[in-house]
Amino acid sequence: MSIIISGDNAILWVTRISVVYLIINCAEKLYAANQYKNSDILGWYDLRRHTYFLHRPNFIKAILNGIFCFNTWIALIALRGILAIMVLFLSASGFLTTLCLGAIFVIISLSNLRAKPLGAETEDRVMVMITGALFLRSLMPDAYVTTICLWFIALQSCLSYVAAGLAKINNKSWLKGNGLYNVFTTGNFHSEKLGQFAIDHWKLVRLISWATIIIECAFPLVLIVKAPYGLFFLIWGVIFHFIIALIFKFGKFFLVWIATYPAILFVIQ
Amino acid sequence: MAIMHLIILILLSAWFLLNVVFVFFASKIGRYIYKFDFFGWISSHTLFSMEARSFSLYYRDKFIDGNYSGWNKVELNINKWYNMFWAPANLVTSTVYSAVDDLAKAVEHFEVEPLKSNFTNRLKYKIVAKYVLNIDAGETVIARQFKLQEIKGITGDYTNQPVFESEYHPL
Repeated sequence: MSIIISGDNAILWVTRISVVYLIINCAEKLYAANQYKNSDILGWYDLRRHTYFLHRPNFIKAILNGIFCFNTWIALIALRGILAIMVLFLSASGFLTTLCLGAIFVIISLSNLRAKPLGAETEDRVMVMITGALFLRSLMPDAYVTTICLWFIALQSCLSYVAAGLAKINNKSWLKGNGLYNVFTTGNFHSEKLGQFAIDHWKLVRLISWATIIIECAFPLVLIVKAPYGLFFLIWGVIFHFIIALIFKFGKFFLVWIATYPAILFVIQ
Repeated sequence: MAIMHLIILILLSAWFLLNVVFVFFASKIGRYIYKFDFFGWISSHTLFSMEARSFSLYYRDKFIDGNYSGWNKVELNINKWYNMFWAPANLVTSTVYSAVDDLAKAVEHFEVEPLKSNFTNRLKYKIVAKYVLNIDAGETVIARQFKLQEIKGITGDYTNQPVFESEYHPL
């Protein structure tokens, strides 16, 4: 069994899946735009009083106030959505594509900066890496740069799984096999059905907990064992993220991580 | 190799290596990364690896006649099937949920003394207070108080003592 995906196709699919995330994310933020009004919960007035911004030089504060005030910020979010739609219809390289990807990268970076006091959205932290790599690739879309960018995305993806696995190992509860059980039975993400399932099938849930840690830590092996065995990790990843999306309603995580898989596919073939 | 190739290679390698260093030495360099990683380019990727605990948010009202309501739990959970890909409300509820969690842990670890101004001036406190005070209130309600409490059990039936109770905020 062989997989053949060209660098250009891998870039195309990374871009397409990323764009779907960007469009949904943008639509959600525009739908909830009222919450970004200056004095509202996600508004700039409280954020700017956080120590992270408070002690900056005045000219920096003036720039940030200009960018992050309600009207400008919502306009930038809308622009990010429009640019994402444009990228969907443009070729993977070219001046306009570079411009769009560069602007998307800048707006996601600004979004992360604005959310600094609250903690940037995890999806955006990964998406900024993907769009950064896509932007650099669009500057010079030859085979060499395409390969470097796809390797970068694949490596970042593997690192994210290893980091999550190691963090679980460092947590006593996860190490004992109770991590998932605790997530299901405690916490605002749980449902009664899921909690009851965890209680009734605690041995199975414990096994899944350990399996999650092992596969997360072993995920970089995907780059060593190559195709077709590496496909095991990708299939596991798709199922893993889909279940998380289904149970915890973190569908955007699914899109962001799956967006890195075409890059892994290219690397392992 | 063109100079542009080299620049892109160096940029992406440096970016990846910085991330590797952060993942493996987060406890040592975490605060520097927080300080200098202005645009969130470096990530620790530790989601769902923490101890699963749940702090819930409750509020109660003070009425104009001097009586008080019981405690009402604020529901921050989203649970419709389509919320897996479409959950605009989650932008606020996840922010409030995270603020509740951070505030409760800050009190538990004695980082701050509750009810002192350095606590009530915290961004996370303001977010929680703003959210609670924005929940619909009857005309006879003159003030509202909130509390943070750890819940346990699949129905949230077991609760510890409140981690924190705010003062009454006038409405």
